[in-house]
Amino acid sequence: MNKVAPLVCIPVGLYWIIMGISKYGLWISDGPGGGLFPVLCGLLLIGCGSVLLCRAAKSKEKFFFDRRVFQLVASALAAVLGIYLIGMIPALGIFILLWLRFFEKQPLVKSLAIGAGMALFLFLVFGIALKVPLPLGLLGRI
Amino acid sequence: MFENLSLLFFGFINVFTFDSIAACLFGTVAGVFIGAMPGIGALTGVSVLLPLTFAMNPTAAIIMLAALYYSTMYGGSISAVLLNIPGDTPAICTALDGYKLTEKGLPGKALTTCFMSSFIGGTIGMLILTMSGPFLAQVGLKFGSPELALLILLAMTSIGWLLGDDVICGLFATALGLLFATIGTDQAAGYLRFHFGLPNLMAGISFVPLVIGIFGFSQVIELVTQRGSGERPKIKIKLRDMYLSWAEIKRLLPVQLRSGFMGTFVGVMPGAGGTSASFISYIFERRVNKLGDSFGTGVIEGCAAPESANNAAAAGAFAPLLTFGIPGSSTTALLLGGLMMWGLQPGPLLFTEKPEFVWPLIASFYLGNIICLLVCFAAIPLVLKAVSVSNAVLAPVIFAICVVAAYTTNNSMFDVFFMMGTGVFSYFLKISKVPSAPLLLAFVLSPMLEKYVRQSFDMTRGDPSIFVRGGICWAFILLIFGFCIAPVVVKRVKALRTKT
Repeated sequence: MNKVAPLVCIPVGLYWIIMGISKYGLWISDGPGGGLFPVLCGLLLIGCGSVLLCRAAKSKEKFFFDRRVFQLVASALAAVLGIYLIGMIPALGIFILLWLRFFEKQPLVKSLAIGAGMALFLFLVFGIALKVPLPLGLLGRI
Repeated sequence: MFENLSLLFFGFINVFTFDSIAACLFGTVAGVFIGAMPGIGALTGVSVLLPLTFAMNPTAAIIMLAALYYSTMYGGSISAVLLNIPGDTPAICTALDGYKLTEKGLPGKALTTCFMSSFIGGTIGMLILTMSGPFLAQVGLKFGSPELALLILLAMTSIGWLLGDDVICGLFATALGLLFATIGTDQAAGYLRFHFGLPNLMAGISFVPLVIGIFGFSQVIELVTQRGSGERPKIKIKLRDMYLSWAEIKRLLPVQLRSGFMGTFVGVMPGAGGTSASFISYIFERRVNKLGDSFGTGVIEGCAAPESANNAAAAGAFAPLLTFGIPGSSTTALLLGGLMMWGLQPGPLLFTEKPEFVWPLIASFYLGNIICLLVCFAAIPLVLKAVSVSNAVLAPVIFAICVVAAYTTNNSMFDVFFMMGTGVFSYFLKISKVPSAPLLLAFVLSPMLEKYVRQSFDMTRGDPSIFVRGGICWAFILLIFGFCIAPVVVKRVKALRTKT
């Protein structure tokens, strides 16, 4: 079991409790105030998070971080940032092409076909049928 | 009873519009393919396709999502039978006998059994929903704010904590759902909370990017990390291999009927869902069937029981959802969020105030069930190709859909980043064995809980005794108490059994 989730959640829970009591109020004019639920949720997070953290500390099961998770998240983030430059559909099409070609070692033609096909599909469904104003990016605006 | 049938007839008249039929057709076709692809499942499918409904009217939108949901049950059996990889958890039992039949060279027979059983089970569930829905709604009309608050609490305890084996993990997920729900405008008093000065958070966290992150992007990460994501074997089935003999049909019918009824009742119970229904019916059938000892070696009855039960449960889960606003499974919790996104408040009043929505929806289930059956038989060659698509290809394709779908919600890049953030966080929850469904349920239900609690205290000027004002309240309190201690008791009993 890894410690990331409880380690993130315990301070967040503490912040929710402090804000719930000090800013939103636990009990206002004969009824629960806006702070009651945040305080309850903060208490639950701290309580359960502490138990999970203790379990993770005691556990002999070794947690190792998969390199591919980092690779995926980093390249996905790059693709999303690429939206600002070349627009949403081209950025996602290129992401699919590069991911299939370089990470999954798929043949170039197959990667190209899936990337282009998917970009066309997304454009037709969201851009044309649903009329979503998809971001064009810096290049698209020029 | 005749009144219900006439209302259903009214529903059929209203469902025969271009929008509704197109929505139902799209939902069923997409559902069969999504269900068939191992590693996607109903939750990911419904969450990723949720934004497609933005251009539809509310009835067509929910018809599409509902069709998508129960058609994944059909699709789930295909990969279970052909590849021994269940498309979704309710198809786990189907794989036990289904794949053995494929090994014996009878995949066509196994698939026909699964499709026919799904159809019969689904029809039984829909008939029971048609008959019981208005009655349950009448019961629900007796509920005031305190009863509704306790009912929501009951749903949160029953589904959230029983879904996982671990109470602490379930509670942790529930707390996270509460945390997300407290961001934005306070439903009870109208104050702004925890928005950190960000305009995108002032109206609260958007439902669609959240669910796409939790069930879509986290699934992409999981697909990428799964080893052995190479190409899957290509399978061919001839049409003549799919026929069942008259003797086989006669053997299957009692199994399908028994499992259909059992599945419906399991599906109606909050927290049980299609997976429990298929397991319970499979175990039951193994005990009562003449061929029970052969279960697991490749008998068609072993496919019929779980498939009939999980489709019946999928239909049955709509009874508590539409009448009390309580989801019977995690996918129906997603549908509840979808309904609320459209401004529809599921509950007892839905049947009386919005019959033009409820009855076409129920009628669409019957229509969707027939379409599912036809699609499954007609699209077998295409579905076989879809089943052989590898995770390597699926992962970037789903990611691209997730990004566009999250953006579509508010035409905002903030939602895309939020979706990715929740996806990564949800992946860490998954590897910590924290279930995602309680998080979703708490996120959807807690604003309503907060509102009803506040209303109850307003009625009595702060007197908490209103929560024990009658038999209904006490029944709910006892059930909540039971659901809370049940996992602990079950765990202790299991530990004692293993010791002895």
